[in-house]
Amino acid sequence: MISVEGLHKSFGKLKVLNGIDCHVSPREVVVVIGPSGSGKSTFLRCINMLEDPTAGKISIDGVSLLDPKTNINFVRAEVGMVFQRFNLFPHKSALENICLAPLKVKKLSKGDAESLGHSLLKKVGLSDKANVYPDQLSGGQQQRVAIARALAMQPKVMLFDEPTSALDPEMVGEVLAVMKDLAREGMTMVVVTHEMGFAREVGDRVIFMDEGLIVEEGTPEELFLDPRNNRLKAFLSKIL
Amino acid sequence: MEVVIKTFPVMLMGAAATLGVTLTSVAFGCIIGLIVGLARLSKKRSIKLAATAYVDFFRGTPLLVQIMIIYFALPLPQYFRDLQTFFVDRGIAPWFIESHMFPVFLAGVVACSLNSGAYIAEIFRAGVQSIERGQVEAARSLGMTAGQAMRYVILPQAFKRVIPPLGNEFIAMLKDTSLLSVIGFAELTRRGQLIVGQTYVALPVWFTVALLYLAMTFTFSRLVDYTERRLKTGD
Ligand SMILES: Nc1ncnc2c1ncn2[C@@H]1O[C@H](COP(=O)(O)OP(=O)(O)OP(=O)(O)O)[C@@H](O)[C@H]1O
Ligand SMILES: [Mg+2]
Repeated sequence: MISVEGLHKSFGKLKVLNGIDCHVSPREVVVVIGPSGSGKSTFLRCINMLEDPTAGKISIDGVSLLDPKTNINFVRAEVGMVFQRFNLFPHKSALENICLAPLKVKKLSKGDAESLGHSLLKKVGLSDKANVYPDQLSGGQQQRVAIARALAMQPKVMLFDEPTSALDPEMVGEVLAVMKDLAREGMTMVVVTHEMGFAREVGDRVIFMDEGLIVEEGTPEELFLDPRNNRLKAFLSKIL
Repeated sequence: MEVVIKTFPVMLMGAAATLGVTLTSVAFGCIIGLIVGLARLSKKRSIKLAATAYVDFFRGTPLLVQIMIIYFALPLPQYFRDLQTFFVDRGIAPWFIESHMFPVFLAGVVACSLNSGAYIAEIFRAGVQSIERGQVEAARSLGMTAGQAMRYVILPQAFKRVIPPLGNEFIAMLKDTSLLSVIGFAELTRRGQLIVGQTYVALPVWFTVALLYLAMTFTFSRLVDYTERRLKTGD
């Protein structure tokens, strides 16, 4: 579903990604962990071209992103992204946040977009918040709306960049629950998170990144119970 | 005092002309400002450079000189006269000016629009840049084009934030239109000059002129304060 080969990314002189190779199969849930600054966000952002890779190949569902003939907006519409800071549109209600892209990008009719919006709000447990603006929602509720907004484009892949790390602890569970449901429904997901419980429960594979490289990868059990790399060991001892 | 009472209607007409030329100029200034402001944010270097040159010129030279250039140095008066005939023949000249004032009115509007366009461009640019990066990224990640993200996500939020500075620009322009008196446009200051010239009564007349300006600017600054407060609670 996602295929990344030799991905390099530099910001000026700063080399952030130094050759990432990674393949994600359909329905697979990949959890990315690693110390701050190791390039996890940059890696995710390259997958939907929010950052221009310096070198390498990325393709999604067989479509190469770096091919100049590829319409990047079409690809992005199929790759949902959920941000650490939610990034809901503050001037739009929860329902409008969800409906905007289906209306403008997919050109759905207003009625179709709204019924899609309502069904997604129901899915994330916020049916009663359709007309509420983001500033009236708690962090956990905002993040659930953001997930619904991404799902509204019916993406083939969902990318999550530390979706729970800006949340108060009591709200982490409700967001993770929505993500677990998605995983069980067979969504292909790449999730940057330090929620080890989530990784164990629904993660098919865990990737440990350090200094712009994938240093170790394997099933959650392999990585968490039997880490080989020293930096991974040090990292795990800090967060577990 | 008698003079003031007798000439007050004339001064009011001047105030109406001041208001009219300001509203027209700031309206055109907003259109120019939106285009130039977005051009300043363009990735194309030539577009960005042209917009920057525009802003630098109109903010870096006195409005008085700009008015002079447009009225005297460019062969516009003839053109204005043609336009005047065009409008007046069709009976659509603005109500607040007499028809023979049309050429100077147009010159004034052109100069003030170009000038306020430069200031408003900076207001719009700052407004757009004040919207967090995450907003465009969220929009783009949903498959919107840069244009769609600008139109549906960035501009609606930016418009809210630029209302107070736009109000201030309006107030500044309202006062600056007094410079149009030099080309003989009968706005408030020019009316004052004419009255003083005819009656030799200076202080009460100028004082009344000042009060009329104050009445207009005060009303607008309260309006700006009010919208600013309302927007703060809604943001
Ligand atoms: N737009 C940018 N311009 C310059 N440097 C950047 C930019 N984005 C990221 N970086 C740098 O790239 C490096 C990797 O950043 P990245 O956000 O990918 O790390 P991360 O693994 O997600 O870290 P964290 O856990 O703190 O989110 C950091 O040193 C960061 O300062
Ligand atoms: Mg990050």
